[in-house]
Amino acid sequence: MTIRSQILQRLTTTSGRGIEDAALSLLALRNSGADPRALLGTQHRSGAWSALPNIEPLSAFHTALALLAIRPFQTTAVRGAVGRAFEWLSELRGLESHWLWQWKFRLFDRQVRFDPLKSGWPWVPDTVSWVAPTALSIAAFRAWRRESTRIAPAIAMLLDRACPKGGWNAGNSVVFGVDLDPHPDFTAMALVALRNGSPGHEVLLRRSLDYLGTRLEGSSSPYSLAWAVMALSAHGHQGVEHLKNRLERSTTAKVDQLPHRVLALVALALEDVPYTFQEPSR
Amino acid sequence: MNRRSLAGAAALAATAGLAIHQSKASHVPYRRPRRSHVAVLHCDRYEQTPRVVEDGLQLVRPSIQGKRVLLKPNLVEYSPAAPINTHPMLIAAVIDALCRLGAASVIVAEGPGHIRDTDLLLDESGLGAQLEIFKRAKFVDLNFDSVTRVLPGTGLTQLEEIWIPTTVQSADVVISMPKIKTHHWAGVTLSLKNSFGFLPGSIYGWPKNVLHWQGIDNSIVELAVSVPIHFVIADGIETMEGNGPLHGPMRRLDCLVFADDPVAADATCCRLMGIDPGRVRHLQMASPLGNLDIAKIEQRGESVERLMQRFELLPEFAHLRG
Repeated sequence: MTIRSQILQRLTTTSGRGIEDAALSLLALRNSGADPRALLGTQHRSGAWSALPNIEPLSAFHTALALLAIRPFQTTAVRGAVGRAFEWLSELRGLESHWLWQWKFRLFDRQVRFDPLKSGWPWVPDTVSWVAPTALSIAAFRAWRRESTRIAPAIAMLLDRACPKGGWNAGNSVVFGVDLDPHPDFTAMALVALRNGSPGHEVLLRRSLDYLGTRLEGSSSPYSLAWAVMALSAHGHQGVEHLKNRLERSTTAKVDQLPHRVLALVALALEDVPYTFQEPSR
Repeated sequence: MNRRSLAGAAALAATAGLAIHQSKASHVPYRRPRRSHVAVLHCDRYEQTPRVVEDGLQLVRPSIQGKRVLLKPNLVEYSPAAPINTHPMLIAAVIDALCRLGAASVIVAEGPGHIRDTDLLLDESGLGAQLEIFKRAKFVDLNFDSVTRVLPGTGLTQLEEIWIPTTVQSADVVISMPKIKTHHWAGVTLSLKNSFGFLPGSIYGWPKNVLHWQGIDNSIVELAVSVPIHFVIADGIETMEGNGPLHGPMRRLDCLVFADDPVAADATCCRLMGIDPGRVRHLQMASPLGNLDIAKIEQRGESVERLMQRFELLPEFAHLRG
């Protein structure tokens, strides 16, 4: 039995806790009879999802992830949920998109280098845009082939927040004049969002892919490895198979200790062609 | 000045007014002990921490017999070049000492503010290996723990509720283990600022930007009220000055600080850094919770004056100099 089969069996027979667990498990099991109704049942009346059912703050990250998770399922209930979720996402903006805060960031609050005119999605309402929720929201709009005026500035925001030497962290590239380091998972999420390329930014994308291909050389963390495999695969990078082998070995060593969200990510990354959050055209 | 600028200035003034209103110390409940106990012990190598921790715990005598103890280190992100995190050998020494003193259980718990992949951080920081060697304490990633709803007690923030990890709520004794560092937003990051790691990133995101937008100082004090810290063991061996908490240069203070009051602990750490604790805004605001006043702190171990250094501060925090 392969490690991926073991994981799928475990995802089928046990349940996780939050929306990230549920969404990623649903995706991992999409070809094994999974049913989206449980995840749909946790959608807030506003159309959003939060980290856990029935709590606030509502979350762009989890809303985007849920949208990606229900993409393979074409039921009436799914179609209804999708409309409301995109409406909520379309309304939610980072605080930096407001002229007052743009003014503050341009005149006074200048220790963090970023362009407040380039705006994506915050994790939760009443905060500024960050890389992970922006990347997943872009991916969700793309996966559902939804046009939005929010996508172009969100892509510009991701490009603006890239670390000087390539890759992304949570969303601060230079603070108090110091270049900050990228992190593998946020880099992978941004690269998944930028899979269609970005004219004029080829060097950044190449550096970021190379960073991702080498950063985890000595690592045995399945979570980061799985994200890296999916991002490299989305860009057709040659390092995919090498990281996939590493992911398989490190997961085998600790499969019993991994939470649902990580198991599901690993299962997605270990598909014959790693999943890249984009359903094939129907 | 055109109309747009005028409206902007008015809005900023209103925001400033709201910030001032929110930072009134009168919202903070009075929990200050009559006297606090702080011990500063010389320690210039992490290999010495088992002995020094044992000595320090005898001086502040935490009541942990039969109790579920939660250790909250400062685990932010890893850089081989910078002393960012509470040293794993110190954490291991504390676990060992607490088990010998009869703690029913010891949990090490943290919710890193910049990193989602806590396993990667545990591996690279060396904490995972230390915990594996001793096998006496499990690690809980607070970013993904189950949560309990807590109603804010101070009114300093506009948060209507705070989600706190159940692991933290169910501990009998919370021991904060900060790394002594300067901080480019809060001035210093010690035991009170260390509490940002209690908030689950899975709910609030990475970083926990909600806390920044509520005012860092307000949020620090709100969390100090919501999640009381019972003891502090601060890593003052290799510390950070200047542009902390990630990019400042290393400064050797060569000591460990033990305390039964987080405000007194942080005040003492400030004095060791050559900082006047009365000028650190969140410490001023938290003063109803503990003793800032040196006269109310029973000092044990080494003399603070003898170990005191003059830490480099960013220009924004030059006014903190003692």
